[in-house]
Amino acid sequence: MSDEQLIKSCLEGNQNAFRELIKKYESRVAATVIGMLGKCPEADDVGQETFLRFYRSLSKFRGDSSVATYLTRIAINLSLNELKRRQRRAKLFFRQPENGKFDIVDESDDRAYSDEKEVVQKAIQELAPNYRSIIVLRLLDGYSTEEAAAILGIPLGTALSRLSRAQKKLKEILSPYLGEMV
Amino acid sequence: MDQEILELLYRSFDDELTEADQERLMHALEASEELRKEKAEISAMRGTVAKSNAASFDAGFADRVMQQIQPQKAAQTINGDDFFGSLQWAFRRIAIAGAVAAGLLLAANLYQAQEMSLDSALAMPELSLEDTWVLSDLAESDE
Repeated sequence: MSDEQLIKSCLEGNQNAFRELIKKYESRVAATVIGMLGKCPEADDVGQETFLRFYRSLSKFRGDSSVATYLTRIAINLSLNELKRRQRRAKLFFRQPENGKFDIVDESDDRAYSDEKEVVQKAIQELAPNYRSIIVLRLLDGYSTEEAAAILGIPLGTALSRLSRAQKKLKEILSPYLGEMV
Repeated sequence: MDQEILELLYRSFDDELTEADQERLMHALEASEELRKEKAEISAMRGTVAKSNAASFDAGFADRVMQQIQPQKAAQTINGDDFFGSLQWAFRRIAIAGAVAAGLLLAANLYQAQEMSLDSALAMPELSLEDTWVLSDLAESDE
């Protein structure tokens, strides 16, 4: 069944059609949300909220963009909101380390993140939200630069320069591990 | 390292460079070992980030979303067209409860009066106008 057919069926009251849509796009939304927030309970909540918002706006969905892009846009916006909430909470309850950034190595666990995927995920979490969103969209989700710019609602030139700065920063964070990756 | 060339290098991964820029970058890459190393590192980093995209939510994600959708749908129905239906349904219950209470009251009055009449059911004793005068005189003389 195509997305249009599934949406039409949802609007006629068939809830199984919406379940199909969730199953179809769950992994894409997960990549975006977990890329933005890391693997945590809030990521699951934001993922659920993404689909709930989509469900509420089904009747308004005109198909100007694909369902995937539409969902990614919701997921990115909700993730950015969650990051703002986190920042507010962090300001209230925690003090940032003196060097201004958190270590990529979890000292409490007494082991370095040996898993490459985990290292990358931690490194992305170190980026500022606007850098993080462009990296997630372009490198993790695989959107073109034009699509990423459209999702974020920024001009292409801004997206390109932001992407370039974000990659430099990411490379800096990952530099201790890059030797093993090359 | 030339920052302008470095910028071009980064851009070359995501944007189509002009022919002149492409040529400039190519010459710079041929001339600089450091730049070639940089390119290899950026490429490796991008590949690693792309490969790390295998995230998924915990099992049962679709069920969790659907569970939230069902109450929402029910709430929408109550808030929408069925609002007056719900109102009628609520008032019907109040009306039935009131009727039952009134019936019980009438029965209790009849039981107390030990006779079957409308006045006793309504707990209104049969008084004539003269009786009320007599009763008021009695009350005055008591004072």
